Amino acid sequence: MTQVISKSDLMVWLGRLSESHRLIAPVDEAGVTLFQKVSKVEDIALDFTNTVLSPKEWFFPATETLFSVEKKDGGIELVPNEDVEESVIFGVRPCDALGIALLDKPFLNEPADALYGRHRDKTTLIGLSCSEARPECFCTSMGTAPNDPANVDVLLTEVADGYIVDAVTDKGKAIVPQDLLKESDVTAPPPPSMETVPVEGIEEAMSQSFDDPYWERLADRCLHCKLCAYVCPICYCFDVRDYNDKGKVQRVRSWESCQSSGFTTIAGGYDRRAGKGPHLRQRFGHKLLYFPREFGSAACTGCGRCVKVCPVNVDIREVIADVQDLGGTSGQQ
Amino acid sequence: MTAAAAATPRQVCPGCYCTECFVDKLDPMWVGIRIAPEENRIWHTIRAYHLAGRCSGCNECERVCPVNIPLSLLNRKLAKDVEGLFGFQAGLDDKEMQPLGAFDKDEKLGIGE
Repeated sequence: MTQVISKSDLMVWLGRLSESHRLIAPVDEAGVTLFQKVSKVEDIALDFTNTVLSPKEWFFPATETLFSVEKKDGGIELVPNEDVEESVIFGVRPCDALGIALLDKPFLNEPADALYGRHRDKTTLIGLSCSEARPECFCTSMGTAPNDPANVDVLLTEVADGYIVDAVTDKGKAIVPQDLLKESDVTAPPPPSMETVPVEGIEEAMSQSFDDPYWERLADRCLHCKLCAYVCPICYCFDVRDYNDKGKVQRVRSWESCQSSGFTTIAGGYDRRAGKGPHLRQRFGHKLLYFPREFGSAACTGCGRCVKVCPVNVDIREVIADVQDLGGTSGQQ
Repeated sequence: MTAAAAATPRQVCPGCYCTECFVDKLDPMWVGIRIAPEENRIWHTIRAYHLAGRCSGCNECERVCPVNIPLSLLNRKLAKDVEGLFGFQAGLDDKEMQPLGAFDKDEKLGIGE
């Protein structure tokens, strides 16, 4: 027996959540679906494959003040940003939930990022199984699946007359509305299938192909536009600057990308990743070699967003397959 | 749009030719890293002055935008102003200098004088 919520009761539940929490959900706007703060549940888009931007921006915003500097009693005080609301994110796909779990590794390993930790502690994730896969999807190759409950607090799976409700964690059990659930013997539909990507042994293959001319060839068409980093549910590099607005000083961090010119330039002007090839290799190196070495898994969830937005069709699935075929030319790093 | 995000239209733009874009300058930093109106304003102002009379309307900037920002609206506004002020249309004559790329000491536009 499973617990099911009807489609109309789902709206009742989300309505309650929007009163008790900051409710974030997919919303259609100008032809794109994005996670946004919702006050009217009718605005929520239920018929979507996935959002253009991942939900990472609700834990690691594109621009966020880390702390402000205030003058007090003749001295100076650093005031941390504690403006973090209790939130529920509805409609998180399993690939994006894996992305958040992977973001935890760099942000919550000691020394932990306090602000990210506050966002994470105060947010409950309601996942939504995928009933269809997009052409660019390959999550099953990256350790998750269209119906994977592993990284959400509650997982909903659409069935004919509503959604199967699976409260996975204590945080999830706390928000599930017992009064709206009905027992049912309905079974979940089989998850959609998708193409597989040969990731087995990619770490070694990446290491072996470090100096291969392949990277120069691939980078020939790269525009270094950085869209791949912005839409990625895991890319977490940032830049930090201080801003002084009429005497109010704030330390701000914003998304950055390894594809920015100057990203790898160090004091004195030396660039460890100078040139287009090494520059683009850094993106795939971080995802498929350096992150796995540090944290034990690839920094990719198979959501396919970078494949979809790239203006020149750089496709991580092809890169993985190509690197596996290179066979190792010069082992290094 | 942050400085970093501003990179997309310029990289696909056939009108952009600087070897180092001002948004990439770190010292001094022309466009800050924040998503803030003042950063947007400087990016779009400088882009407008660079592209007015030069944008050929290929619309590539709009095609690559992943969140459907209608950049061609801005481009058409630039083209309309240049045609109104200088009677010039980009891309019709490869011999004629674009109005914002040339200086004529006798030219009077009847604005700001």
